[in-house]
Amino acid sequence: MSRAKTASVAGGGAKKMTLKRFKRYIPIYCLMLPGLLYLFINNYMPLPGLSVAFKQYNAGKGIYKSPWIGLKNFTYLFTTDDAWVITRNTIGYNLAFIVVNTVMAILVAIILSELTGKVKKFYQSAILLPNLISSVIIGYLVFAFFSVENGFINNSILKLFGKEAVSWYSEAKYWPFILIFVSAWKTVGYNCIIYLATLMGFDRSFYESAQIDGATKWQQIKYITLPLLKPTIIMLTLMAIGRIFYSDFGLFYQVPMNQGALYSTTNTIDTYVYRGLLQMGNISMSAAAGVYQSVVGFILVLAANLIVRRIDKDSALI
Amino acid sequence: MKKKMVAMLMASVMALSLCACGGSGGGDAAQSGGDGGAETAGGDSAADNGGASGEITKLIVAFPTWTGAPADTQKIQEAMNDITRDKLGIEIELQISDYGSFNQSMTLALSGGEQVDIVSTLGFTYANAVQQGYLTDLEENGLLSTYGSGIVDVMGQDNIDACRVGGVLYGLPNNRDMAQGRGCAAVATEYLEGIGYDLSGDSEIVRISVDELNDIYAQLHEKYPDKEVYRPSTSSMSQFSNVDSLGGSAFGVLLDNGKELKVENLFTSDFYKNYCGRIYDYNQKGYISQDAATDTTAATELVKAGTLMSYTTGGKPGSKAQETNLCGRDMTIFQTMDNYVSSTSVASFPWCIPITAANPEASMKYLNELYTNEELANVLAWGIEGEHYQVGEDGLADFADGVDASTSGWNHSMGWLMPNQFITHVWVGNSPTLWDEIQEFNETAVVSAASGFTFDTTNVANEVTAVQNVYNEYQASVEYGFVDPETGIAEMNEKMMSAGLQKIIDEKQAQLDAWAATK
Amino acid sequence: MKTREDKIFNCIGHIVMILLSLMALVPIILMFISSLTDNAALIQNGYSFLPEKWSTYAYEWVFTSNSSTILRAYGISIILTTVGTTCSVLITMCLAYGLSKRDLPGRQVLTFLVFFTMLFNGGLVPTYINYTTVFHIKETFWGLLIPSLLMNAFNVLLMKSYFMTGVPEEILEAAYIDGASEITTMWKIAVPLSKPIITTIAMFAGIAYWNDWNNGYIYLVKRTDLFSIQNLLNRLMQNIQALTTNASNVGNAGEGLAQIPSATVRMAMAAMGIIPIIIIYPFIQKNFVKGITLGGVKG
Repeated sequence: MSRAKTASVAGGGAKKMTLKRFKRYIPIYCLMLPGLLYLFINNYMPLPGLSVAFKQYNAGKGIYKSPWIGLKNFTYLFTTDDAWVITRNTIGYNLAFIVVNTVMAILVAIILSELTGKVKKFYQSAILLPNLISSVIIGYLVFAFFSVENGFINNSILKLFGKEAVSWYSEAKYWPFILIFVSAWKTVGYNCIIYLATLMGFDRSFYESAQIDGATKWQQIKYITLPLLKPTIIMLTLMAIGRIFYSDFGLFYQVPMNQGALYSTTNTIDTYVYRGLLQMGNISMSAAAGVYQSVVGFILVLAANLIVRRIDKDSALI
Repeated sequence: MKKKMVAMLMASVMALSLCACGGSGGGDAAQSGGDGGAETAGGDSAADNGGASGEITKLIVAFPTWTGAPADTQKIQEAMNDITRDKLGIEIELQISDYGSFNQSMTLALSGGEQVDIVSTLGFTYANAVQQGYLTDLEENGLLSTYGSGIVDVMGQDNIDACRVGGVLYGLPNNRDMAQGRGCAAVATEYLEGIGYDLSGDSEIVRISVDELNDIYAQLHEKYPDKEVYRPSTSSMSQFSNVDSLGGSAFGVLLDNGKELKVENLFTSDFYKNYCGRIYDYNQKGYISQDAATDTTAATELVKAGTLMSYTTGGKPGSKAQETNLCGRDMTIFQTMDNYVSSTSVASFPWCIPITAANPEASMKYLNELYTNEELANVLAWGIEGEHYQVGEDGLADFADGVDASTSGWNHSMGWLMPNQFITHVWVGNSPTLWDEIQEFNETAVVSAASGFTFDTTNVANEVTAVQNVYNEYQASVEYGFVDPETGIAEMNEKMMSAGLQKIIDEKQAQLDAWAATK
Repeated sequence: MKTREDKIFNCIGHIVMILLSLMALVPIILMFISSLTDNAALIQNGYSFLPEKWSTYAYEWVFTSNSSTILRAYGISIILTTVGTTCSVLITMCLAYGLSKRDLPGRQVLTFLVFFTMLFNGGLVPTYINYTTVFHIKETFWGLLIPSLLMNAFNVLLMKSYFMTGVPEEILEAAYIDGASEITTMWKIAVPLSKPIITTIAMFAGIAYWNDWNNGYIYLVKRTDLFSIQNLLNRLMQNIQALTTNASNVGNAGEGLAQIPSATVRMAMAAMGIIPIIIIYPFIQKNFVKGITLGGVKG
């Protein structure tokens, strides 16, 4: 469908060509200007401030004149016994979210694209609503279900089956499931919009001819829909990989109600940094955590992008 | 189609104007060279200030309240300025944040070099503010002695010295209850009457032993098995201890009211074991809700709703009235331990002058006025007489006619945060001699030998972060009695040790010794 | 036309969607019910679908204690979301279109620069200093509109990829050869063909603006009259969190907690944050779906 324009004009002609193309695209550059300018202001101008991660911050001197102290601000992320746990949790949950949420979102998008009528709109609005609720409120709602004394699960469901009440907020082993569920609950409606939009953009004639050829629904999905969705899936996954060292603070802090007994399965890099620095308010140390997360994400996503480029150039991010 | 075109057009105009203002901004940035942005800004605002207002100096006073700026902040500001405009040539602007965002907004404002002239360190932790370099040395160029002599007279040199960090004075303590009645429990009186407890003593705070308290709880539980007897909070352990948590963290403490300057590990102490054992016992007997660790509802709300009978509180003169008011039921306060001034209590939230102050002399002059001028202090604490409050015949202040707690435009209930509460009116419902009682309470309390010591965490920042995380992990289960202390404490302690607890203790001891040597 | 297999698929599809919708809605219904529960009943019995005692206290409190604030906050939220979404979509679209041009000189570098911002930013303090000292947006409406929300790299790359795969290059090239300018080609051909992704991005931007509380939290300290509805809710939550986590440092924390509205009020505020969406959403969706099908037909 998309043939890359080859600019393989030999020798001195190439430069001339570039100049010509440049001239042709001047209006396009003008259009791009506001966006690029915004990125410059919002992202690049404050960027030198990252240096505070390598400094001993002193407000009197300001960020740029505070003394350098090398990597000292980073050590707290690694010297703790919890370093392994928080890294494992952060990456593990993110991988689980990538897989579960992507599969669910695609599934929902495919189903929605096949359905018609008013009820389809209803479904779509219903599953999007959870995305509009703040994580603190989600925390309360989860508590309504899992509270030991008054929760629905203990009071209704477990009682119905004659089972013992479970102390959900002190048993770490249940929380991977709860958190993955809550994350899916919150994001699937949102993520499926992208896939739905992509599906809607497809040429329906593919499906029509497939139907005439007697392809089953499953075959249509497998041989037409999924391959067409592939670039979108790859791109979204690549972007998710870039953020694999970040975690949704609200999900891991508010939803488990900041319960110490659950740390082994709910503590992530972001919650660890937040809890550790709350008392000290050290700007340099929190900046260091951010730099660490960014750099690791950057390396991972470049690596993944490289692999994708090898296999399928058009799907690569950059 | 037309509609669409119009929308498109409007939007592109917006985008263009946006990019235009962005463009000019970009130029500015290039000029300041991305270097020392903070200083430039500080200079700007100071210049603006000097140029615009002539002889009158304009100061910005920042402090938090629980729920943000009250409705009549502007009026109060005017009333305060009417008092000081002619007398000192100073006008102020009140910058009131809510407690939850105060730390963030102050950190950003001071890092960004914005003018703030006087700041309270409630929620914007004093020790951190000093360590990050946000505060001015108050004795530089004789600032305090020249312009703040009234403050020294009011507070006393001892209390002021208690705010020194590394020998340098960055903050001024405020006049309030410095001591804390330790080991206090508030119990709703109606339940006590229900079990036939004799309350004839008629003292505001009933002194009993811990065993007697246990006994009361046992009877309460028997009589009202459906109600929760006791709800611990994160601060219950320290309130039920005679421990001095140096620098406000439980990692390395002075035991036994801080009689000796020997830093010890709280988590291996007998006190801690006994305390957790007692709460574990409560939990085993069903005094404590299984949701205690998760539920964030305030204990007073629970008492009000009738599900809870008792909780921990800090005892002081007036606490019976305070808790009764909060719970909407008559409360009885039991105290099982001494009144105590720990090393951190005087310097909990001093008033300070930030480095971004436009005119530190004026700031100090104004602070001096806040500590000594009754009229000014009353406006700040209670509002405008006749509009927000009125003074009765007994000398007690009450809401003005037609105003109540929810309709008053100036009802922040932060009187205890203000520089000098003792020169303001006593609020109705308290004893008319409340301030004298508090003063006596402060003076007769046991004082920690380390009073005035502050801990600098710079050298052990990594360890503090790690140990804090371990403590967060175990605190609720161990201190709320959800695990057997025999095993729970040992496990927590082991993990803290490997996270560097000993290093923190050693560092505290070293700093404490150095501090003691200079005293 | 419908085969039996289609029917089975539709049937299963409906069942799955009904289940998912229920799962999504039940907790939200619980939120509405608890906002209408008597506070004491909520504390005594916990959250319940069938409360012992109903009460409209929470809504009364919200409206009587700060009625003007709430209405104004709604106004701010709506203006912010509309203006923000419009600007955001336009800027994103223009940048993405440029990046989708395969032979645009400097495209690789520019794409990388966009992508880079997805992973790195200067952090809170430097960003704040930049916006307040260079652009002076503190205590203004711009403080809500501009920082971090106006455009993000994720949306740009998403749209770029759609332009590249969903809009056949041949058509654009043909139009150009026919004498249409680059900009005309974009508005007349690429944009109509990309309606699905444009509406998607609009929706993302709209949700981001509606849900955002962070900008107000950082850039509005004195001008709380500019607070959006989410800022009001967030302020309550921040205070509760600060008081419960720092309780040990503040002797009077109990007093502070007692001043913060009860759980039912929090639920009422949260409910009020999403009620407008529930009302407005069907209208947006109507156009959204129309846009998608239009795009689909043309594609």
